Amino acid sequence: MPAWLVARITFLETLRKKDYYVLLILLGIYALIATMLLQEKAQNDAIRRLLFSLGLTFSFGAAAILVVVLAARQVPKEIEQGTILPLLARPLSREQFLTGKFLACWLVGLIALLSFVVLIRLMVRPPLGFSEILFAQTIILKAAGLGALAAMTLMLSLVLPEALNITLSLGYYFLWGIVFNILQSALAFVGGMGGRVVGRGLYALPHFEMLNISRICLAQGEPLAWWLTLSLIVYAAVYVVIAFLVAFNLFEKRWV
Amino acid sequence: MAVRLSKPSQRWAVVIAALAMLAGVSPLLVGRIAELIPFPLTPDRERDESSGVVRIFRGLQMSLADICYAKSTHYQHRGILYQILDEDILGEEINKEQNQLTEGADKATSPTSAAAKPDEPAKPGASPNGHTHEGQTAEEHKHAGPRITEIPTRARDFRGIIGEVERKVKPFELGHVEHTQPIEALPWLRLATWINPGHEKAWVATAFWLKGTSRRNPRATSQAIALLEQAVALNRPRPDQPYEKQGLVYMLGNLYLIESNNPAKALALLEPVLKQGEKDFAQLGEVQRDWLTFNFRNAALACRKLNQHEEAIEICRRGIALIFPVEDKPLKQILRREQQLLKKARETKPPISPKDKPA
Repeated sequence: MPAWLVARITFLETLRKKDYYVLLILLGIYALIATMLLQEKAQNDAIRRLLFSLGLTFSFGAAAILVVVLAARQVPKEIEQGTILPLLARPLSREQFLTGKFLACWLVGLIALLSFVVLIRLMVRPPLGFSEILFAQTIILKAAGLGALAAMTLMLSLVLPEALNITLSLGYYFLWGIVFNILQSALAFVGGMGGRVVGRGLYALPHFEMLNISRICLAQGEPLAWWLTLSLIVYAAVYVVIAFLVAFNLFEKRWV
Repeated sequence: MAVRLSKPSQRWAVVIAALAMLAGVSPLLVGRIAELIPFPLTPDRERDESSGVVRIFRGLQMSLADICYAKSTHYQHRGILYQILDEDILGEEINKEQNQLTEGADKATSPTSAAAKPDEPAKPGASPNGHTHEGQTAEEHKHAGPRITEIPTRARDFRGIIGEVERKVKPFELGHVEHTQPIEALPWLRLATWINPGHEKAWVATAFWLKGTSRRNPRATSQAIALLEQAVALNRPRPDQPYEKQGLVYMLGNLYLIESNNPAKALALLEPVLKQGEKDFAQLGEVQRDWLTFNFRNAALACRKLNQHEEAIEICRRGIALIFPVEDKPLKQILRREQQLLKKARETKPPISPKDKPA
C-alpha cells in the first residue's frame, strides 16, 4: 500500500513540527481561562454558552488552519527540495502520492480536531440542554469538512503559490458563507435569467459553513436527523472526489 | 476511481457532471441547514446566543454605534464632555416638543384660538424657558446652570498643578455651554444608524436634528421622513416578541402629523403600533413605555385633526388605562378637550335620526 506509506511518513514528519503543539497550548490556555471564569459564574447559562461556543470556534478554526497550512505545503515543498524525484522513481503512482499526502493532512486535522474538542469539552462546562449526540454529529460533520478542505487545498497547491493558496483557502473556508449570502442577495436584486443561472451556479462551490453545525449544537437540544447528517457527509465526500480528480488531472502531466 | 477513468477528458467530464449535479442538489441541503442555523443576518440576531463569535462582533457593532451617538452629543458641546445622565439634549428637546405639541394642538383646534390672528408669524428663537435650539427655531442653545464637567473644577480636583495645566490646555468651561449647530453632529448620528440599524435613539436623533435644519435645507422634512420610513422598515415587529422601537414610530408619526400635515397617514402608522404596545406593555421597559405614551397622544391628536373625536376619546382612554397607575397629564388634558369638542360638535350638529337616513 504505497499510499499508506506516503501518508505514514508525512504524518510522522508533521508530528515532528511545532504547529500542532503551539495550537494545542493556545487552546489549553483558553480552556484554563474559561474554567477559571466559569468557577465564578457557574450558574450563568449565557456565560457558559458563550465560553463553550468560543471554545468550539477556536478548536474548529485551529484544526482548519492546521489542515490548510499542511496541505498547502506538501507538494510545493517536495518539488522545491527535489525529494519528489526519488519518490516518483519508486513504484509509486502520482495518484498514490497525492492520496498519501491527502490522508496524512486529513489525519493530522482529525487528531487536532479531536484533541482540541475533547480538551474544551472536558474543561469548559457545556450550557444547559446540551445534547451529546448532536455534539458528536457536529464533530463528525466537521471532520468531513476538514477532509474536503484538505483535498481542495491540495488541489490548489498544484496551481497556486503556497502563501496565496493558504490565504485563499482559509478565506474561502471562513467567509464563503457570508459572501455567498451577499452575492445571492445582489443577484436577486439584479434579477433576470443570467442572475438566476449564476445564483444557481454558485451552489456548485463547496459550502463549508453547512458542515459547521456548532450553532445548532448550542441553539437546540435535538440531534439532526441521521439522513441529513449522512447527506452532508456524502456532500463533503463528493467534493473530495472532485478535488482529487482535478488534482490528478493537473498533476499527471506536470513536469517536476 | 481516477485509475479507472484513464483519460483526462473522462475525468473532466465526471467533474463537470458532478458540479452540475451539486448545483441542482445542494440548494436543498443548504436550505435545510439554513432553516436550522440562526445565521447572523437574520432579523432576530439580537436574541441569538448560539455563537460566541457572533455575540462578540454584535457587541462591537453596538458599542461602535453608541460611540458615534455619544460623539454627536460631544460635538454639540464643543468638545466638553458631560456625564451622560446629566445631559440628554435629545430627551429634553423631545419632551419639550411633546408638551408644546399638546398645548399647540389644543389651541389650534380651540374655537377661540382659531379666531385669533392666524397670520401672525412665530417669533424666531421664542421658547417658554428662554432656551433656543436649531432643532426648533434658533441656531444655538444655552444651558441655564452649571454642569459637571469631565475635567474637574479646582474645588473638586485633588491633582493641584496638574489639574490646573489640564484646565488650561483642554477645553474647559463652567457656567454655560453654547451648543454648536446640530448639523455638525448629523454625520455621526447617521454613521451610528449605518453601523447598527437597530439603534433607535440614533435614528430618532438624526431625524429630529435633520428636521431642525429646514430653514437652510427646504428638503429637510422630506429627508427626515424618508430616513424614518427606512428605519421603520428595517425594524419591523417580529412575531412573538415585544416591539421595542416605539420611538421610531413616534418620530415618523410626529413628522406626518406636524411637518407634512397628514394626520390620516400618522394615524394609519400609529394604530397597529398602539395595539402591539398594549399587547406587549408588561414586557416593555420604561423608555419604551414613555414612547408608547407619546404615541397615544399623537394618535389622539391625529384623530382630532381628522375630526374623529369619539376615536380620539377612545384612544386616550386606552392609553390612560394602559399606563395606570402612572398618570400622564397631557393625555388626560387631550381627553378632556376631546370630550368638550365632541359635546360641542353634537350640539351644533345633532345626530341623524333613523327616519332621516337615506335608504
